[in-house]
Amino acid sequence: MNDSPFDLTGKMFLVTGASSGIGRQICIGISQMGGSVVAVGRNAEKLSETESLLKEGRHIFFSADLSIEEERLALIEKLPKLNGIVYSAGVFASLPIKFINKEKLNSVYGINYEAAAFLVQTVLKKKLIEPNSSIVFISSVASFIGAPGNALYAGSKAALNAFSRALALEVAKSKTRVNCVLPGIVKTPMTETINQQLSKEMIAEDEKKYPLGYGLPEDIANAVVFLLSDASRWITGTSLVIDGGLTIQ
Amino acid sequence: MDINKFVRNFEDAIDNVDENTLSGESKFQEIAEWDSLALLSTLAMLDSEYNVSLSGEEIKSCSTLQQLFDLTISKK
Repeated sequence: MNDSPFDLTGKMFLVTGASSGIGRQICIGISQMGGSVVAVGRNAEKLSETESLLKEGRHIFFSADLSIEEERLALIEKLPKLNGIVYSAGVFASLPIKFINKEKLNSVYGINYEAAAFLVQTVLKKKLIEPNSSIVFISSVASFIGAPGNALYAGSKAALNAFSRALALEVAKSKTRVNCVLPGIVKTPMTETINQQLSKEMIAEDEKKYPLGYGLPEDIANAVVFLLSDASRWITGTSLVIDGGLTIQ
Repeated sequence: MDINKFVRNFEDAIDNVDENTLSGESKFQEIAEWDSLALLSTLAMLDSEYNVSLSGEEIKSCSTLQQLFDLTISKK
């Protein structure tokens, strides 16, 4: 249809966290470049809102909580052959270390890291991914900078970064690439829950730390579309920081 | 649920605040130790001890620990 290396026509991507925020925008971005998605999210109603925003394609919509093994396996049964995976499911937790307990740790690591690792593992085992594919994990700048209350979230995202580098080497023979994208604060329903914990002054003060201000979901989705396309075919094992300049200071 | 236990929980949650130094009348956002970590710790304490979730703005609207206690009770 189009000989641009950025074109995704005819390709199928699994996108998790597709019911809102960055994941939803990634689905939109893929469909705009001619690709199709298997869009997975916990909330069926919000997932159908995502559906209404996509350009035509062979899209599949599947509502599941990926931290639950049975639901993850039910998804696997429905998967077509994939040209890539975007793992964008995740939760934020702002919890001082004194208040961390096993239950909180499991709930954050369960969806942010464990489900990502096992989902990708099963896709590989079942040979559901084509050669020359691209896998992208949505991590966070929190994985390499400290902030009070961020220990659980940051640790789960740092685990993703490390996982992705090992995975990049393990799938390199099939020319499949693996990269992480590390956003700063992007205005989404997830970061809205963070903001509810803070006062308006504190949020305004935090945004001032960003030379380009807070980001929007499309600022991340556009980079992910690039990483899924053949235009990035020699890029693997990287951690792409997209934070409006926050961490160059 | 009594205010004394609530004040002790607050003292316990905030770093560098000694036990029995605050009361219901204390203006908690004016103490030297009040910062963004203290706010997160207060939210976490209210969640773990009282199973109540408040917003940052709601905490900010309270002047004294008694007012914070009353707000917490009203959310239960």
